[in-house]
Amino acid sequence: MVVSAVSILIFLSALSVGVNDAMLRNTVGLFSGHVTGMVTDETVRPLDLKVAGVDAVLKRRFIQGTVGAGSTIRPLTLCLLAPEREKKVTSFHQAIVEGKYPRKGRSQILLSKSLAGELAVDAGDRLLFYPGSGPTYLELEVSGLYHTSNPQLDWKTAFSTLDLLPALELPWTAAIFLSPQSPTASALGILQRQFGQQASFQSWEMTRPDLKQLIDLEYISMGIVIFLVFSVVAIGIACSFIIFIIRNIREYGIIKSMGATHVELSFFVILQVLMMNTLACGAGVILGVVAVESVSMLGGIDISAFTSHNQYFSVSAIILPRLTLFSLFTPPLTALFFSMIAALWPAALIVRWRSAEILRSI
Amino acid sequence: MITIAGVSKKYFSGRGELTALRDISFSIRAQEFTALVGKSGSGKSTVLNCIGGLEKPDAGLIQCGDINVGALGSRALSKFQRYQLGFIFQRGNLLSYLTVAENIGFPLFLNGYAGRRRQKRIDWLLERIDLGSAARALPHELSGGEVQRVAVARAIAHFPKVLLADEPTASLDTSTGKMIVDLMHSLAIETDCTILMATHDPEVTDRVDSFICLRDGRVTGEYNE
Repeated sequence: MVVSAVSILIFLSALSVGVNDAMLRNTVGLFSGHVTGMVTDETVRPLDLKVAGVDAVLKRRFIQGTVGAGSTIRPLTLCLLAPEREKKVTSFHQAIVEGKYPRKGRSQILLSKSLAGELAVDAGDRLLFYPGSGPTYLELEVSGLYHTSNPQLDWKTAFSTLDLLPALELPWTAAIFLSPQSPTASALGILQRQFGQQASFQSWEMTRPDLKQLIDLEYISMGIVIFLVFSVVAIGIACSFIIFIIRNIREYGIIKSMGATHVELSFFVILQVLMMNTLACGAGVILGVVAVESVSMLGGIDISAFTSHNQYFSVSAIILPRLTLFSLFTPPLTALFFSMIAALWPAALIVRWRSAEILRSI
Repeated sequence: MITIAGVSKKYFSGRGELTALRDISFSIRAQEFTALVGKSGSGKSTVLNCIGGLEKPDAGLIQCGDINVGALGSRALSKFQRYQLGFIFQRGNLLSYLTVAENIGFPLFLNGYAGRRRQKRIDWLLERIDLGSAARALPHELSGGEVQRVAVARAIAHFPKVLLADEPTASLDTSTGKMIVDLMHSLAIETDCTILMATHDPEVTDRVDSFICLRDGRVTGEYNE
């Protein structure tokens, strides 16, 4: 019972960590990066921001404006970027459903499918972009259409190349992507210390509080599941140990007749329960780890059939269970805690009965 | 050494009330080997249990040395049982998951004997009961006589002042039974121990100094050899 509960909960916890990883990968890996920096000093180059733990820095500029096709106009944030670099670092290109990224020197725009539908344009059509509130405009060709399920990207943003408006002196934005397992807080701290005067930085937890809350909720729900499962398992453990102790009741009677105190008797019972549960937890941990590693080696669990309209799984819905300290230690520690509580009942029984009653009852 | 005065004990069960002891009184001198004889159901085990604090009498006084056993609280009773008392049960009642040596060492462990001191005592007792070669054996690997020898060694290991034996020879043949009583007696002499042995087997009473006869929960006679 303890072996199976521990192993299953280790697997479920690792799966929950894997779900969080997938949501984070899909959200920050799609476009925004783990840390976003607004760089006001033009002398700072993307390479300068590649501090410890940073894997890549992408340079982008954002221009507010309106976009029009025929009689329809819509407000829009045009993001200027370097498509070739973006393809290497982000997974946004996987969200392009038609056409491709704009090409350098071609005055092209990448539109979301939803916005293209509203403007009644398709890949290859032309539209007008009015930067800021000025009367000047640019005529752009729609290079492709994308769909991310993220409302911010799908309705209010479009993409073009950095050379589209070289004359505009706008602060540039750094999308900073961290190496796997690098803690965001530490990279953010280094960036703030080194470039605090020339730029302001925000981690994904600040820019995506919705995702932060989802991940926290995932941990809370997993904690509740573990607690509930072991509350039930604890009753089973207590019953098993009552049976075990009743089977060995004579021995406790003998120990009691030798003058073992209530504390010592309780200690013997709890120690036995603890030893047996430690062995069971060890076996459960091994089984759980084997299950997690096996599923990871088989390529994870694909839940794309259930995530087509979910922005947190817009690029990939493959869950790779991952072992963390939380997933590895919470189930066995909870099992040990509950087994200790479960041992109190049999211990109380032994303490309450008189040795003669015990010895006579056999 | 042991004084029993006006002790009564009743049991209540589904079959109603059963009087095990009816106002019994007797006394045993220190370092004496006393046999408590009587038929099955005469109250022998109840007397031993009451003296050993395994159960409380309904009325009367049980004085063991200067200790009023019936008045002891649970802590004091534990202290009395672990330091002053040795108990031998009818079927040995060894702890099944401990080896012979560990069974003998268990009361020593409870009494705070540690390391070499404990081991030395265990080794000496193993030699005395002639089971040195079976030190690592588990109880189920022993014969009935060997189990009782270990039970005697365990009961005497911590130098108790009183040894209570509840029909220690009941499940043994006559010669083995006599050998167990001899062993019990010689070990008790070496430790200046008072012995009270319940038995219904007259064959094993050669070494006994005095008898107390029980019948239907009453003392029907006291004899000295």
